[in-house]
Amino acid sequence: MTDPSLFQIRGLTVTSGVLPLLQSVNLDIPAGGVFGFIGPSGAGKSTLLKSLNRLLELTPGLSITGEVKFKASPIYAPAVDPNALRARIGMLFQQPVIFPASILANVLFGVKRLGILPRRELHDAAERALREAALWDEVKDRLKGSALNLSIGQQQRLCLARTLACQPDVLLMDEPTSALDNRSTAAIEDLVLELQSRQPIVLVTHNLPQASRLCGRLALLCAGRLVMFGPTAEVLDAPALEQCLTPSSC
Amino acid sequence: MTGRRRWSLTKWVSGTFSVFALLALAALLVLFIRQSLPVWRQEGWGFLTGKRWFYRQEEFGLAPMLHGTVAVALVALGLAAPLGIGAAIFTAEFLSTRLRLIVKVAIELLAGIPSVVYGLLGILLLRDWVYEAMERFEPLSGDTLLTGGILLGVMILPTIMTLSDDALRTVPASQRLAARALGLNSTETVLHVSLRQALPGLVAAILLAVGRACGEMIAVFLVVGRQDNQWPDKLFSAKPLLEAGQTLSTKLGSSETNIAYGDPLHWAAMVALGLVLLALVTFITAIGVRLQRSPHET
Amino acid sequence: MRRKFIHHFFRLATGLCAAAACAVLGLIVWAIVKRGWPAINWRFFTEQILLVGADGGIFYNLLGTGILLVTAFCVSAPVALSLALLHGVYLPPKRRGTLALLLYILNGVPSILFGIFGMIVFVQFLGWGKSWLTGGILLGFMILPTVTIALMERISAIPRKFGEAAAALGLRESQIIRAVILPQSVGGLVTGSLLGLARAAGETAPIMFTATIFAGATMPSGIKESPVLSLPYHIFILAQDSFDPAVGSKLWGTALTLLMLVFLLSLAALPARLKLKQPAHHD
Repeated sequence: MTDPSLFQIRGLTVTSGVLPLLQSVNLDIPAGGVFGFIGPSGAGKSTLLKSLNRLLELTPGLSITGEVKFKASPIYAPAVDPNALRARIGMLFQQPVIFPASILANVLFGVKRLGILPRRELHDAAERALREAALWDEVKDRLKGSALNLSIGQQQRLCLARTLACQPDVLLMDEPTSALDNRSTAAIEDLVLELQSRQPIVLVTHNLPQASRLCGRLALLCAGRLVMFGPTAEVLDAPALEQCLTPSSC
Repeated sequence: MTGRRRWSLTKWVSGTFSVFALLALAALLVLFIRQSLPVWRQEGWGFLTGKRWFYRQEEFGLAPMLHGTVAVALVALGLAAPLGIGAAIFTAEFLSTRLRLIVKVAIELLAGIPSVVYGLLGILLLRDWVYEAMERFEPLSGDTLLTGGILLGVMILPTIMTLSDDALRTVPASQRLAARALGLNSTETVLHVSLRQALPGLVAAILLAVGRACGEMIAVFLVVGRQDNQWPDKLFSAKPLLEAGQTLSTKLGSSETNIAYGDPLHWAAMVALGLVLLALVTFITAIGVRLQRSPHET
Repeated sequence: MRRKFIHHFFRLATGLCAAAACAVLGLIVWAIVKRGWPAINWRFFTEQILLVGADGGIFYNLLGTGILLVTAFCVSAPVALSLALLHGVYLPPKRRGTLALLLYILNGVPSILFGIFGMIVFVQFLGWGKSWLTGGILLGFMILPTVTIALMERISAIPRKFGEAAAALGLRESQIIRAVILPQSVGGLVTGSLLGLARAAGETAPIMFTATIFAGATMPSGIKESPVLSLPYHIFILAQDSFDPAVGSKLWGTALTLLMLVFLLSLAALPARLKLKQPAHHD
């Protein structure tokens, strides 16, 4: 009875008022590698991603129905503490969100308050996370300096380090490179490839070359519906993709 | 009549009115300074530190009234700041949009209640409550600095609440969302994200409310006892709160203002008192406004 | 567990604060309505004061407050419009902050100081004595920041393209102001004036030395020595020196009337304010 899926999504429907954002999505996300959501903007990629850590329900006025299982346990069950769930699922946003504080304070922002590590281990955890995010060498001399002085690419890696410090079971990334220049994008992409061996990653992107570089499997969304999913090459070659990306069809 | 005419009628009219308004403001300042000169010449800085105000003896010292103003404002603040900021946190961070709207409307209404109505409630209700509650300390009556302070606290509560709510609203939603995505609960998000970032705005809210408290006259006038020359034996004790007192603004509202006009020195003292009040309130308000509008980081 | 406890405690504590704030409003309104309602009837609004407030009604007080408010509006509206245009159109952006700061400071000036100022300039220097006009001018100045700031917000919210479209048609600056900016800012003038007047209606301090007396005034017929009665001053005087129950009832009735007037004015301004404060969010 072991289930190889990381996420099992069944009949997930999200509506905002009368406007459907997602319509009965059924999808299994496997427990390894990088899984990508692609589709035109407004297709519901971010909505689907945010429903995986229940961040979606913080947006007022949405109704969410259907079932999502994370590691075989339903996450929308009444007994589930959404905060504890979010602590296990890391998330990276489109725009890096930096708290106006020092670099160190930013890295430790979550892990310090979740209480999962003893106080004396925090500094080591910060170093480990910054190394994993390939930022350590650039900031090790100014950990107490303001994080707002970092470049936007460094800020995004700092956000990644902040999430990694909490040692999540899975990483969700919502178009993490769309605000970045080419060099920073390459840095993040390298990190994604490196980190996937340790924990699964779910990535939203509208950049098809990026999807083909990073993702093992893809799901294609269009106008709130799951059009198809499968291995990357298969999805990228499918005629449905072409249809989906021409503006008139959506 | 060409399109290049730079001084159109509209510009001329609005310029005139604007200059008129600014001149009136300047006139207010100049008048207050000029008319108060005699008392500054006689008393010098002693006008601020003098503990005695006896106009028949031509002695003018503000210290007791400064003490009264500060005491009343501190009581008001001690009451309204925690309550107002707490309430603002609850409405801004925990309430649904619709409930938040209802609370905001209620607070707007509370802010609109005229001070003379607060004064009436103070004189006919609060005064007795304070007297009864404090009976074991044997106050002479219910007309005390404490009563004035409590009344003021209720009056500045909506100010603190509205401005704090505005300050919390300026913290970007993305910051809250990032903290929630890390697994922090809503309280931790408020404490470590919203409150920290809204801090200048919250301080501004408090300062603007203090500015209002220092200048408020009518309501305090009716319940504070208006006892002159009440300089406390021990400056930092709570005892004088249970005695009658006088604040800068209540002194200006008393009938002494009418009496003073004929006597240049006495009148100068009253106007100088107004000038001190103006300076105090303007100073506090200006800092508050600057803090409030300081550009948000990120 | 500790985190959960803090969370629940914090939410409860802040919730109690909010409940307390609303309860205070409820208590105040209830206290006034309970005592004031019995005094309210048609005669109360149509008769004049008799027996030092113990009998009769508050007709001339209502009239006086009305006169003061209308005057205050007439004084503040053109000046506020001018200042808002100065801020939104004529001033270079660098100076705008200074003007706004000045307005915020004016807004903070204690109202009793307006009273003293009016006493020096109008009562004594111009020799008007107590006059409705002084009161109206002072109240107008007091509410000037409220009205101007409401107008400024409205003018800066006008989409740039309106002005650009008008300029593209070849309209002069003054024509743009009259064709685009003024019509768009009417709402701001109304909202700001209602809010300002709600505040002015209850003000006692600026008018007590300059414009209003307790009894004996009717419709003013000139400027010099023509005071009016007013609602707030009536309450102020009666609150100080009367414990006669008959007076008490009339007193609370007056307070209730004033409160209703103020609430009506601020509620009328509310819809526009809430709309302005909550720009369309979409996530």
